[in-house]
Amino acid sequence: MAKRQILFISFFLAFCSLCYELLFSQIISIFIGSTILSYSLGIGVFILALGAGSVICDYFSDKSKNPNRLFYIELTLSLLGILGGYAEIILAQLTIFFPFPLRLSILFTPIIAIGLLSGIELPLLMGLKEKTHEKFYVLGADCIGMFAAALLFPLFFFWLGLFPTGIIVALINLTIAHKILPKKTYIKKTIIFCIGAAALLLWVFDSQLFLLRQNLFLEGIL
Amino acid sequence: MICVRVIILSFCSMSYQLLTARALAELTNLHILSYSLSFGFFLLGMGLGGIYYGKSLNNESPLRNFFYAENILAILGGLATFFIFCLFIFMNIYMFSDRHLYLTKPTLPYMFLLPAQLLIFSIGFFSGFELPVWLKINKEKTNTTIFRGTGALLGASYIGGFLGSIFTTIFIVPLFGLVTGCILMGFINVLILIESLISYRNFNIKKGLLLFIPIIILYIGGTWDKKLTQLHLKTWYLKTEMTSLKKTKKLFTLLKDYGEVLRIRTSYQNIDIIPSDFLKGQRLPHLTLYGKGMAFYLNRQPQFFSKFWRTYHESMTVGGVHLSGKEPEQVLILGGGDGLLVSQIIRFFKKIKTITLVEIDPIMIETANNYIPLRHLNQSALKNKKVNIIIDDAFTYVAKDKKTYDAIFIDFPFPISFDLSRLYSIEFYIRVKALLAQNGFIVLDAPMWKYIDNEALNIKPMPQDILYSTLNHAGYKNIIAFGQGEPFLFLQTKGKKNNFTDQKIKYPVSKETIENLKIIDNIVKDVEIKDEYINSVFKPVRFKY
Repeated sequence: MAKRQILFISFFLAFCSLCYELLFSQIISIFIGSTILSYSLGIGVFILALGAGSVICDYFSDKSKNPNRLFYIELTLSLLGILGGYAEIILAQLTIFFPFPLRLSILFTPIIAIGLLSGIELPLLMGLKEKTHEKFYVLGADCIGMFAAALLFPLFFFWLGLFPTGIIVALINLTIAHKILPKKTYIKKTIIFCIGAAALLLWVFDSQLFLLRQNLFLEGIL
Repeated sequence: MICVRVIILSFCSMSYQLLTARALAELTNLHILSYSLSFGFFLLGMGLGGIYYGKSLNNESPLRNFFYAENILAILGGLATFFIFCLFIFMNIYMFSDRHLYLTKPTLPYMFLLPAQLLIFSIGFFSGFELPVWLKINKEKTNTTIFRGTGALLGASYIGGFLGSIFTTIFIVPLFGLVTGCILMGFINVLILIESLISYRNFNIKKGLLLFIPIIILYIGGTWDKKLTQLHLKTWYLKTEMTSLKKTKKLFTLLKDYGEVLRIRTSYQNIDIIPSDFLKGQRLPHLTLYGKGMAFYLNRQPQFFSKFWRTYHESMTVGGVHLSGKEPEQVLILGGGDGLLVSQIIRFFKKIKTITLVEIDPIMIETANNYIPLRHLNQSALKNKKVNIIIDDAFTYVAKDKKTYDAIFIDFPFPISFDLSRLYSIEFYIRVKALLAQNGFIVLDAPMWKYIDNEALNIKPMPQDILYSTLNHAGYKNIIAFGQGEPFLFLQTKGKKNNFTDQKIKYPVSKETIENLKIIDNIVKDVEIKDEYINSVFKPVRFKY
């Protein structure tokens, strides 16, 4: 993979990861009533999960499988972006009578999942570069990607709506999954296309889904 | 042992970042922006710091680099919130003197937020040195060509960050506050530095003397915490404005004529009480402190003034009952932890059976019960046997409660942050509607613009546009705006548009309340009801004040 392409991918992977983290912290704040608490704890949980992810990655020795692994990670992350918001509402409804610390722990599950997967991403990507000094550039692109997410989320995505944000970030993730895949992997590319098309449809019909979300939010799945 | 050091150092770095973000959030009320930006700049700084170390300083002695980096970090991080408060006080006095402008012009808070990010970036930059330094020390110690134990050190760093986020939020802020909390972290940073130097026998007189610099600076900073908080609060509430730096000394002298603002920091908010004997000597020129008497603020937003509280609460209770035409028996109050609303309900409505009050902040209830001037105003109403106090988030409580109420009074601070904006959302109003008995009513302290001129008409959406659009879609068909000086909304799912002129007000309210109880069609006559103005928790609409 070309150096420029890896830097590009690294930037957007980090961008998506932090966008998801902020998105879920925001959704959690709806249910716990404190943005300060959800953002502070969200950052800590995300960092811990990132670390756990990178430790897990040490167990992957065969680097030739890295593109395939990255593909599955991107796919899972994009599904979390598209459906995670709905899952979080259901979790919040199911745990409404739970003690606060337990409820909080359950609500943070999606952030843990995102942190773990994102923690695996970067070492996998860095594994594609043999030269040490180029790894620093990958790390740099990663930092700038996270920085861009931290800027864009409060200034743009927040006002766009939480569900459209999840879909946009998921679409970026799917594009990266497509870029990572080697040629002639038609089945996987078809999967990407199908999920992408479904996400686009959800975005187009977002205002129609407003009522569904209200019902889900107000009545729960029961 | 290296892992323990890395955990503590990472803990300190995360604490600096979170305490700084919290200070910015409290000062600007832009919580999401403050936290996101701070985290972004911190990560950027960390990443670039790590890269810079790896590329430029990698061949130098790691302990030497560590010594200088930690010294700078202890000063920058330890005094981060101190610097931020100083910057805010400076900008508050010399640049944001027109408070109305500060709140309505969305670009102004960025003038404060952006310079503060430089500080956070610097903290991140020097924190970025820590892990590579310890990786190198570990490598030299184990005398291997590969970085053995890299995973463990990386893990330690992440665990430290995680613990930092938990402890800072739950313990450090409530126990020590923002300024002292940061300074404490600075001291811990210096302690780890001293311990490391001693452990690696790298301690000498020169380094020992240099270490006095951060220790002395942090100590001086610590002694200034209380003074700084008072300076910040006084300059904010007294709306001091200066045009020249030369007059600063005079300002500080004049401020001594004022007593102290009582600040109670809770997990949810800052309660500021300006006591009635606040002014002790000469009054500051151009001062407008809403007249004499006690003033009560939540997150620096006015809650009530002892001079006007009666008009406000009498209007809310009597106005609602008058428009509905029926005295309630079961009452739900959302917010209103100061007990003043309860005191008026007990005073006027004799048929009351129960009053359920939902308040998120237990310290607010404690203050209402124990702070004597406030207890004097609310007549210890919260201890009345008819009052059932529930400590819960109103947003969650209305989803759990299965009872119905004849009257619901909603008394929240204005939606200046997302946490408060949730309580003005369609999801919240739909849930509240489900708690309303047949022919029941709601009175809402309406965060609306009271004066609408041509300039205001050009700003869309106005708060009343958002409120009416949201309430309309939530199913409230009878919405009446009343209260000339203190605006409220009377809400019913059905019913006719009553007026105050239909019959005489039978309750013994003050003359000011009678004057206030008027329908205010003038400020809602041009209200636009649109789908895009519906305030949802999933797609918030910005309230502009």
